[in-house]
Amino acid sequence: MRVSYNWLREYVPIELSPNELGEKLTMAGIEVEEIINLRASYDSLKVGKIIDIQPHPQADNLLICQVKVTDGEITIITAAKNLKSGDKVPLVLPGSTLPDGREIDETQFHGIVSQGMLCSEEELGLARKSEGILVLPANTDLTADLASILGLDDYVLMIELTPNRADCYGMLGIAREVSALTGVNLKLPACAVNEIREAITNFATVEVLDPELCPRYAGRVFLDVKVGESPLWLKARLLAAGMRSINNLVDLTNYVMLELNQPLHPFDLKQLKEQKIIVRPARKNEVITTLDGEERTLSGGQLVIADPYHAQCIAGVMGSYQSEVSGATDTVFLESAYFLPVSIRRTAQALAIRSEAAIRFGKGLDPETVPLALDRVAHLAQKLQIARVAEGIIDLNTQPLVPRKIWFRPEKINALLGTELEASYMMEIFKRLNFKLEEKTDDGRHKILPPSYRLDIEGEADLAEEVARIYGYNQILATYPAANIVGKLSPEQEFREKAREILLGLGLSEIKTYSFHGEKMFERLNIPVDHRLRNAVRMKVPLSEEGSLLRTTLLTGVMESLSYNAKRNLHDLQLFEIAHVYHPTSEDGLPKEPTYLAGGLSGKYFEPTWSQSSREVDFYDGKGLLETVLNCMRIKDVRFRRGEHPIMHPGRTAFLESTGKFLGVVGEVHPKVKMEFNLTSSVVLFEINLQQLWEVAEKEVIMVKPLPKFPPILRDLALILPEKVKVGEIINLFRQIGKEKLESARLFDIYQGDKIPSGYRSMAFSLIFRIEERTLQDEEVNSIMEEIIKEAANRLEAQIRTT
Amino acid sequence: MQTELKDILEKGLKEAKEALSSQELSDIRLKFFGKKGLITKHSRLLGNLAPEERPLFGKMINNVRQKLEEYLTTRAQELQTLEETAKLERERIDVELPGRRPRRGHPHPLQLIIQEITATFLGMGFSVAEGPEVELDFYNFEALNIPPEHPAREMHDSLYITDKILLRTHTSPVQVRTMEKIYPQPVRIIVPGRVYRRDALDATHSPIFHQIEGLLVDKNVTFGDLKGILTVFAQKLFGEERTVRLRPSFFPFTEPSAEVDVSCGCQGKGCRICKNTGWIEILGAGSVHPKVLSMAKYDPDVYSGFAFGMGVERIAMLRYGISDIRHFYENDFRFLQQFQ
Repeated sequence: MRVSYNWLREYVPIELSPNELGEKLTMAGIEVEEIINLRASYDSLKVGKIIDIQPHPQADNLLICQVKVTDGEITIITAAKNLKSGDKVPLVLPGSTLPDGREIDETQFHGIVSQGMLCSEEELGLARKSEGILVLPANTDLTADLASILGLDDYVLMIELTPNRADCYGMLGIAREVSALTGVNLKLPACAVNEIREAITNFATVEVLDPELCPRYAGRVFLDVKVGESPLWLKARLLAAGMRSINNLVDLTNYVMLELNQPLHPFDLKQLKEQKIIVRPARKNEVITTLDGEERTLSGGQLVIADPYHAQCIAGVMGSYQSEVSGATDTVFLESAYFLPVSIRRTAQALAIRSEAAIRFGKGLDPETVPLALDRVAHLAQKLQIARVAEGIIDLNTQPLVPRKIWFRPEKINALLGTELEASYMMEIFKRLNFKLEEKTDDGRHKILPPSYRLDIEGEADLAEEVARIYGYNQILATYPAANIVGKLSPEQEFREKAREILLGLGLSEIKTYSFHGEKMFERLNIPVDHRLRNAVRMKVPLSEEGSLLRTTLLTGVMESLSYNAKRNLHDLQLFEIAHVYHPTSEDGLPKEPTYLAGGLSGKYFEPTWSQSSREVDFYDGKGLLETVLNCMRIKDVRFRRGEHPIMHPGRTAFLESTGKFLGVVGEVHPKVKMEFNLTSSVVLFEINLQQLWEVAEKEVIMVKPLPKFPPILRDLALILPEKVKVGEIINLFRQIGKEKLESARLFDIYQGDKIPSGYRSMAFSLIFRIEERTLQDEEVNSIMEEIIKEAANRLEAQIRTT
Repeated sequence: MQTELKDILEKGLKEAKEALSSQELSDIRLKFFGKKGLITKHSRLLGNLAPEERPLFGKMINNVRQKLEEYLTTRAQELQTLEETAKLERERIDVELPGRRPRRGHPHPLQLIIQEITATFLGMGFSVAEGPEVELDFYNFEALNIPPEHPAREMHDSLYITDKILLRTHTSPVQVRTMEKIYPQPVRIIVPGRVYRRDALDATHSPIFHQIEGLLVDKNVTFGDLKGILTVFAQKLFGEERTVRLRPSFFPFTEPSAEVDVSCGCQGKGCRICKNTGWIEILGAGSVHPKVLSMAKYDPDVYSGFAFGMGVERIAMLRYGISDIRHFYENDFRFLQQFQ
């Protein structure tokens, strides 16, 4: 919202500078975002006097003007026809700019150079359209300050209002605030009207058929209207407020709207059949041509203002072309109304019209201003001598406002704010804000009545805010609530933070990616049409195709991040993300949002250096990483078994399980997916359900085992086994036979090649034997080893490898 | 014999002095003291002498032996020191070549901010609460005093899943969910999390961003307490020398409401960051609206409280001098790498 400093001072003659005023308003909750010096836009304008006008020898429609300026005489070419010798005009010299920022250069017109440009009102920003050059008063001096002459020696405060302060959308609303904040008395706008003897009812009648959507409808009739141009002061006010002049009558209604925050609509009364105004809901598919020239079809139910035959205005939103005020208009019905804000918002939104009126009606207005605004326009119209005013107002106030009353408890306000303000001080604040205090009741309490325009004041907390606002938020002392609770993370939150720390420590960097993606992503990730990962939460009206559904796996983000970096030639990466995925439940239930941990390794696993060569990552890097992570997270009995995941290589993917629960997946990326994402280096992906992981994690406090007192016996064993035998199987066999004497068994080498028959592989294990109570004897271990070798041969077709 | 011994001593001392290595020295030692060594040989000759001569010559031999041995020991130490020094010299490497670094991951800047803020509030007795990102309209709006068709809904352009379910537009629904869960206990929580708005992506807007919400509900909580807690917080985050100011504002679920500004690092001189105002807006806050308390069963005549909320991206951008919000979600490694 734009607030003219000069205009504001007509209502509150404050001594504050624009900056001081801005600061005061901001600190009272009316945020001033910027202060614009209007005059700055007019600084480059000069005044010139036309000395001579000659037709252009080469162009019929152009004139050559000799213009006197302060420091000499110049030649300017113009197309305007309204000038004569002796006229004083505004102009811009080459190298300077127009108020709209356009730069002016010397220009040739058919061989003659124009050394500047004469300005019209349109070019000065004063009118939406204008013909001819603006002619200044004859007594204007060539050195005169144009901004002052035009009434634009002004500042504009750019104000960002919060939705609760709709009352401040009018100049008077801001003025009331300023008055309350400074104590300077408010000067209300003059509204006296000299009516003629003929009653309004002789000219027009009004009927409201839907009082719920239109609780108050009022009007005045203007006769012998002389539609024409507005005076300069009016144009300047509108310009400061960001509007352009149209004609005197429309300008006046806009002026009063800006002043009192009451949109007004003038109808050309003669265009309304039977001079009858009916306020009713629109019929289904009713058609109206709005004054922007658009033909609009209404779905029905929207409030319209109609004559007995046709809708003439979409109430509160936009008028019709047919009954618009034009140069030929001589009788006007001026509407001032209070429409139900919700209804106006819906209509404006459905029709995508953001008119000044619709915005204001939509935010909620003061019903008490409805008749006042009519008087104000009438007063100004008479002052400008552009109309006579019929006697009386039609005012159908079907649902008068019931004033709100709020108990005033100063002690409660002090308790909420943490202040010790006197009740009398609070009352003084309310008086300044135009709140009324009801007489004390028998128990000594007051009730407070906020003014009708303060729709936001509903209860005691609102009263507390008013007191705090005017007293000053920054006068309230900072205190500290008693610390009676200990702050802590829940064990599960700590678990998650631990996972994060471990991964960072293991060299993975944390990423954050979008929670949504599009259907296309499923194709790119090779996820089949009927796969469970496609069962996603979908948005009703997505922002875009790329944001149409919520992700069911974090691997989307991991792949996109790898791809983004690869495009920038960054191939060796280790990334992870901890975030939610979303799984739909029932139709109207909230989805499940488990926390997942996913990551990717790509390219070289180590940084190759002068002393160390590197290699590309593979499945076992991912698996080993997870083994370490799960160990740190105290997950016992983790099993990896062959698994399949559409994003991953079918032969190089494993599922993770613990105590029979599925925890996640690790694998090399599917070559198809890798290609789709333009990745050239190898990629290993993993994804774990952190919530599930937390469930299976050991939570008991760690109890230390005593350290061994007796020495171990170490044995290595190399076996040649058929390929199909899994490491787990053979280690199980060791355990079965070694029982409590086998402390550990570790695979330390694996070989396939020349020395081994095809279809077989050699595995070498390192076994450690030990018992708690005594030193083991070689013979005991020897017999276990023999048994192992025998059983391995029997059950797993193993042979001892000797070479 | 006396002369001979003198020669032996001189020869031994000379050879020992000229020896260049410990090995050479031990050869010399053998030459003189070994079974067939020169001194050993002379010692044996002692038996051939007349008994009265023996003490004198015995003394002489001992003298020679002692002197030579002493010198050999000294020389051995010298040589050892030299050899050790030479060995260390040979082992010299180029310490300016790069080391073999264990790899270390980089934390995400948003997570750093969330962790820092969380730590600050944990210290002030707040716990971390969480809630669903896909939320009921009821919790996102209605329970926060934003009924259907309320103009304040326009401040939150939302992404709906169904008519009643949407992506939460702020972390505030967790206020209500928490109050419902722990009524009538006092509440002291912060809520970090993702929120969603129907905003097209550009340098300063993202359809997804992070907020941290705070809520304190108890008996006798005042607006002054809000100011106290937020002052501690802002000074912890931005520096002890900063000051905090509150400006009246509007949120449907707080009353009175405030925008909270922290003084700018330029100390009021005016700069690009504070747009020459000397103040930086960091969060919105206010006393919990009585309607919100009532809806969660807390009697507003007994309980009061305050809530606050801030954008994590905004704070991270201020803290690290990041000018484009997209950096947070692109995960360009050259960006991530800068955080430790």
